[in-house]
Amino acid sequence: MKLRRLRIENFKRFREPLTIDGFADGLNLFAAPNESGKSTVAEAIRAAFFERHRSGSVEHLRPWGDATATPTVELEFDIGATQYRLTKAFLGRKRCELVIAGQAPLDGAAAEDHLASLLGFKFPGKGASAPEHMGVPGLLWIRQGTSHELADAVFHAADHLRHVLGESLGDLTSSSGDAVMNAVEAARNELLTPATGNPRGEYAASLQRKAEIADDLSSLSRDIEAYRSSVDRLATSRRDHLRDEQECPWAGVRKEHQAALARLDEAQGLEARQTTELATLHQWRTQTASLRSELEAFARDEVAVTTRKQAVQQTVAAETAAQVEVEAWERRHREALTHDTQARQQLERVRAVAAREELTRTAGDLNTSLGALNETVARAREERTRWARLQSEAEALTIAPVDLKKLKELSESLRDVIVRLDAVATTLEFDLTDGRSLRVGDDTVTGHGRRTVVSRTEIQIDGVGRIAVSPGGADINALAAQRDSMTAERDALLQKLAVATVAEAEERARQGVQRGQEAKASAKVLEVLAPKGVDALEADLVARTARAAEVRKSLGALPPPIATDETLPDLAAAQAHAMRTASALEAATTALNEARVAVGKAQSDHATARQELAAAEATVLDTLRVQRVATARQGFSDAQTQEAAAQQRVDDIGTNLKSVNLALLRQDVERFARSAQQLEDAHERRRQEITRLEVELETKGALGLEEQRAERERELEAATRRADELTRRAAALDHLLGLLREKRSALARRLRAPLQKHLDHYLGILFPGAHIEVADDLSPGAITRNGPRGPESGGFEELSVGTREQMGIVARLAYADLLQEAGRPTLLILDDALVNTDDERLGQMKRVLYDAAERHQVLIFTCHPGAWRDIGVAARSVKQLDTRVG
Amino acid sequence: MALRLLHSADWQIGRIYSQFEPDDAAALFEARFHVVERLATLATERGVDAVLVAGDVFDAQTVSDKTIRRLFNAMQGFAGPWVLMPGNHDAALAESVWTRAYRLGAVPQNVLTCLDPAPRVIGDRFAVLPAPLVQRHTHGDLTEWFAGAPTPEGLPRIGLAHGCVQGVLPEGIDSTNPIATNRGATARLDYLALGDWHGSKRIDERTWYAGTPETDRFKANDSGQALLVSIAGAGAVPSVEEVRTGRYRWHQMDAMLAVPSDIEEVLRTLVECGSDDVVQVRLSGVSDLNGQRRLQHGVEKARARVRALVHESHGLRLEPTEEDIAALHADGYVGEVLQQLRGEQSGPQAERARDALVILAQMLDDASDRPAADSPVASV
Repeated sequence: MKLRRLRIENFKRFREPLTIDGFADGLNLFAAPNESGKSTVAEAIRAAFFERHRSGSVEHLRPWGDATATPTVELEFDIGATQYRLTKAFLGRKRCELVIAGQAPLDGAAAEDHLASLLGFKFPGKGASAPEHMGVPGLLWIRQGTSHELADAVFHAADHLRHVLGESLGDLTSSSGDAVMNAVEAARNELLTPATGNPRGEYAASLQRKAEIADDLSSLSRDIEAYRSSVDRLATSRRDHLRDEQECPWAGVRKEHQAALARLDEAQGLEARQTTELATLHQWRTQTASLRSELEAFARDEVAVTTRKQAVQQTVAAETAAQVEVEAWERRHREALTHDTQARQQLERVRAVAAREELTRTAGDLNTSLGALNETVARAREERTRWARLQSEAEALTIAPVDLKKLKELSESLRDVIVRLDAVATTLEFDLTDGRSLRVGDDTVTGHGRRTVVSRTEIQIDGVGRIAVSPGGADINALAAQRDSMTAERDALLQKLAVATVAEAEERARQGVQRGQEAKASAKVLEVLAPKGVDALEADLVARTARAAEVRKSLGALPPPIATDETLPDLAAAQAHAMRTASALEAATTALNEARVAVGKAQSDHATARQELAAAEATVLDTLRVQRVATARQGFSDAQTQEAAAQQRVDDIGTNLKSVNLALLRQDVERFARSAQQLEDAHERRRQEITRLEVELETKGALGLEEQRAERERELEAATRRADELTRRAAALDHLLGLLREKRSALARRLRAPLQKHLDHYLGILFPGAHIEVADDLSPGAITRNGPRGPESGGFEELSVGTREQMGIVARLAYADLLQEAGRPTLLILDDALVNTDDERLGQMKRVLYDAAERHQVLIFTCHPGAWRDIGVAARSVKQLDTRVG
Repeated sequence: MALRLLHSADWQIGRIYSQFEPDDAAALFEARFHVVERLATLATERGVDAVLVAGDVFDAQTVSDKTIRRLFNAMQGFAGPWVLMPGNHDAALAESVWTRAYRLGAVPQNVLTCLDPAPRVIGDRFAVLPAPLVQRHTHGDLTEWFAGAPTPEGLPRIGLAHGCVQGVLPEGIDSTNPIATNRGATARLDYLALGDWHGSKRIDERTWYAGTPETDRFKANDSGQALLVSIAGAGAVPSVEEVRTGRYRWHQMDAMLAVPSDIEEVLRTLVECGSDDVVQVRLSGVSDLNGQRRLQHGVEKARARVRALVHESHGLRLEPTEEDIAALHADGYVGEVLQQLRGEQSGPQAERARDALVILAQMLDDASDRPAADSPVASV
């Protein structure tokens, strides 16, 4: 379909007629700013086709403010080689005319319906046309801002598209395929879960029932098996019971038991006799032993006499030996005593000699020292007297150096004061008539003289009166006072020192020092003579004198020396000898004493032995005892005989007992008793078992187990048949559904292949390498593109608005191709269709559109002329056209 | 006057038929009591001296008390002596269905149960030598003692045994419980009444299997009968008459389908089946969808008519024809599925493919507004 010319009048903003012609076969670009009427142009085309000319719902087509105008659209277009002219007037003078080249023109609704079937759209029953009526043109004519909304548009055009596809593919579709498939799916889903294909519903129930019956059946089979084995056991038990009833196997064993019991009794009698005989033997043995010990006691008495006699003899010999030893020791004692006495005497004499020699020497020494000591004492006494005298003299003469020095200083100072006083004093010179006197002060002066007055002095002249002299000078009074005090002090000191003058004092001091030195020398001499003092010296002297007297006395007391003294041994030898003899004597004395004690003991033993012998002899010789011994001997002999006899009997029984094993006999008895008991018990148990089995089988038999089982088997077979049937049906349905889906899907793919081809064509320009699936509803489905991390897949609705916009146009172009191939008219109108597309994509889209325009007429309305500068055609302005026509 | 006996065996009272639906199984269970009633009537009508039952009176030892009572009730129609003997199913064990029957007091006076191998004289007319099973399985010949057993002079010697006559019956049939081939002759028997083999069968002129009086399996030729035995006197050759007693006829239909007329044959046979028929239909071979539908239709119709019907067609391969496909409107991808399933019938999952094919055909049938399968059937 190619639009050739368009004219509108009284149409919305175009009150004046607007004519656009010169439409190109391919791209037509209309660029105009907003509100300049380019959308009105697009709307006029839509209204001319979609709205009935009689419609009352198109008031909006009128120019603003003119309620009487008749909006008119005139269109000239070609479809194939046929030329059409459509004139449509709304509202006022309603009119519709379609002129078809070479055919009779069509009027009114007929013209409208012809166009609708030609282009593939519908009219609403009433009111304004809505998207659901617009069909193919609704898909291909994109209104402002709707290019990304594809699904609805495709849906409304679907019938036409399908028809086109169906036509192109012939009669491959199934007349009732989907209905059959739905029925198969429903039937399949009754038996299997849709997702996992597990049994459900009746199928699951039948499997369940089969399993339950099989369980019941195996339980019944077990019961029957048990029943059968009980029957077998009953048969066996009855047979065995009957056999035992007849044979009574326990009776024989009972007999054996009796015999064993008798054997045991016999053996047990033998044992009792042995016990008795053993007791007898024991009694005789005791008797023998008792008599034997009695006889032994008698024998011991006789032995005792002999023993005692020997003891007496031994004690006699011991006594004699002791006596001999005493004598020997007495002799030796005497000799030792003599030796000892002699040695002591000799020692005395040796000691006396030594003492004398010692005393003599001491006395000599003492005399010598006494002489020297006497002399020393005398000199010491003399010297001490001299020292005492010197000492006292020195003390008497001594003046303290301090006093002496002070005295000298006082004398010197006084002399100076007196000199100075004299110098200043008033001198009174007298030359008095003799006998005349006057009194100066208190002194009576006579004659001639001179006097110095240092203080107010009254001169009394008798009869004359008194003259007062007061010396002049400033310090005469002080000096006078100084002189007086010093004089007094010197005089006091002199008096203290007991000297008259200073010179005398110095002399005395010198003498004192000399005497002191002499005393010191004397003290040194005395020190040498008597270091501990004279008194000690004197005491020593007294002591030594006394000792000398003692020594002399001792000497006098000593015996006089004799001639043999020269031959005596020295003191040490004499002492050693004396000690040896004393020791020998002591030893001899001890031995002698011991020997004497031994003699006493031997005598005592002898006496005791004799007494004991006498007692023993008395016992043995008793007449009663002799009789008792005889009796005992006889009894012992008898008892021995009896014991031997008893032993013999015991041995005999023992031999017999050895030949019978009592333990075995007892075991025999027990064994036979038990065996009989067990046989009887077993018999009884079997009888009870038979009763029990009979009751059990009677009870169980009434249950009709095998009949039940047969019935169960029948049920199982039925259930199995049913389950198998359903299993097969489910498998068949599942398989069938799979096949139907597979074939349908393959068919759908084949059907969609042409659309897919066109989509792939445009997609290859827009997104090289991308792949898009065509969904069942023929809309674009999942799109797979090469992303930065490998292929990315997503649904159409998940794409961005921009991409959807582009895909929307691409898809529409593909539909257009498809329609065109099927010989359907196509016209593409894009009213501001790529507003959300970036420059790069817009570049690709321009290639897409340019390519599409090779086959279709494409009208592009845009408010961005700059963006479309490189589309390959010049942009036309709606206004320009307007003016051009106007 | 000749001795007249009614020889029966293998009543299998209490048998339950697991392969059938519950109502059919119940009817067949009942049938075994009814046939005993008919035997009693027969015995009375023919005035026999005794009815001999050669083993397997009961199908199991532990049938219900009710079953035991019902059996003896069913025997009331004949007041003469009934000689019952245990077989391998109801052996005279220490505790058995027999001891229970006696304990229940269900056994009437005129019923003689041979629970031990000892000769008995029945009504001064004949001596019976029974060989009852007293264990579940016996590997020795229980009839050996017959030869050495004396019976009253002049009375016919009638043997009664249950087991497998050696070398006569097919191999593997109850080969336990053997019976010597010439037992009748060696034991000087006038007649040896046998049980265990469910079809009537003559072994020799004096030795017969009676077979079960009411058929209980598909593979049992000449079953559902009893034998009327007439013996003129001791030593005389008995005359034996086979009398039909069973109600139900068991048919086994194994059809290998190859051409359309095979289907017609099967359908015709099915149409002929009536309410006393027990039918097993096993189909194999090849059929088109239309044929399969018709077979199915025919089987379902027969199922409603006969006593019991078992149908197996797993072995049948479906080959949809162009007509099938056209009739089913199996165009487009559904047609492709149909073709694939047809091919899969030769593969490892043939059965599944066949089932799927049947289902698909059914679904298509249901989906179309036209009445299913009627017009093609009518046109043939």
